[in-house]
Amino acid sequence: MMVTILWNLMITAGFVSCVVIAAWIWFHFPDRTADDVVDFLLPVDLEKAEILLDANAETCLRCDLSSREFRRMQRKRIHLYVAFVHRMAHNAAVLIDWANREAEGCDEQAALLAHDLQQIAVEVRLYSLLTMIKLRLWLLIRLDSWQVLPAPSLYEVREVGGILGLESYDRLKTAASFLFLEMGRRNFDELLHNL
Amino acid sequence: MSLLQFILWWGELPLQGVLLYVLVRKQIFRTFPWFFAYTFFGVVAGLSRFAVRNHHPVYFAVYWTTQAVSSLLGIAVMYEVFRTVFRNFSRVWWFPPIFPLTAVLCLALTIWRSLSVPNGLGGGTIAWIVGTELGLRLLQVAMFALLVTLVLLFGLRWRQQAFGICAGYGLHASVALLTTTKFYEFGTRFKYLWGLVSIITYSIAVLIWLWYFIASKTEPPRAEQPPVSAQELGRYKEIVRRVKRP
Repeated sequence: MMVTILWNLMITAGFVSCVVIAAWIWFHFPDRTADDVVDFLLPVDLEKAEILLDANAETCLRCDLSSREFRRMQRKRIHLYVAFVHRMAHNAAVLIDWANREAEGCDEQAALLAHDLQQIAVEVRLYSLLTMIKLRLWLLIRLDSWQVLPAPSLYEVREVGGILGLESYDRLKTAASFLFLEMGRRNFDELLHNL
Repeated sequence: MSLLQFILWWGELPLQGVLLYVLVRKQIFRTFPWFFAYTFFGVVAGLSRFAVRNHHPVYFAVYWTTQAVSSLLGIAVMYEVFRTVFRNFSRVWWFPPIFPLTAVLCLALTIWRSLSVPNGLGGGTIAWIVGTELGLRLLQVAMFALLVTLVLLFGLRWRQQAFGICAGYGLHASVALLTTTKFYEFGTRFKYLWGLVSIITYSIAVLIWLWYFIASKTEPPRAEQPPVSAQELGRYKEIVRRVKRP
């Protein structure tokens, strides 16, 4: 019984993949150049994100607020970090798309920088996806509201899957900046602002 | 065999011949050697089958031998596409074990299924051959699904030809897995129908490949904005240096 279900799932996966490919052909972004990066990015306030993940700040909140108030506050903080991580995932996807194009180009120096950017962006994307799964699971089972367990700490998602999220994102900004400069773009400040 | 049946059954052969010609002209054997080998073998296998089509015992042997080799080459093709699309992932620790792990899981699932689901072929050599074919088809579909999932998750860019190979082969492998499964379960009762569905899908796959390989690959030109001056570059690099690093 189980094996038949698994087998049929595999066949379904094959056909679903065909549909996905057809949808991709229809909807995909044509060809992302350096001109198509800045306007597509969503700004991430790294300082605020740093405060959200700061263990000391969280401890202060725990001490200053009542248990009920802290749990309610923590739920809001989780939602805020989900929003940040969502933006990080989006930006990483945009940069991967761009880096993939530049990595195939004729300019050797740009291709080298694009490879670096690609690797870091994949790292950020992986962190973002894993963190989103974890945080959404917390929100789904309302882990913050269980009185018997301590409210979840956001500090726990500073490192997920062996990746330090904010540090990787910081490196992503630097790598994107270098490639942007290499491509001879003048609106460099806009890039940093939107990342 | 009516004319329509003859065209449906053997129509893929000239299509594959044209594909082979295009691959040779565009020197695809340099970039996708396994796909080239797969197409070349497809033409040779098709011609061999056509030559012995009226001698049933010989046709049986030729059909299943070429089918087995073709399936193995098909896996090599999917692996080639996989490596091409994820060529920058070699340094990521979790990436290299993905392919062997998928192969082991597919093998385990095939063995488990062969032991627990009765087949309609009554055992013997043919059951073994079709069982092996099932395992290979499953691996192809698993690789196809994995490829599509990872590309979507990481937002990777498909290179045009890799995408064409994957789309065509994925469609063919999915239909082939379904038809081979049904053939394994029901035996020869729907042999003609499964064969026909499979052959039509394969012809569609060959048309997809032809489309992607005939369409010339053009790199869009870079923006014509002049590069920044040395002075500006120095100022920007100074700003970058000030960006916090871990």
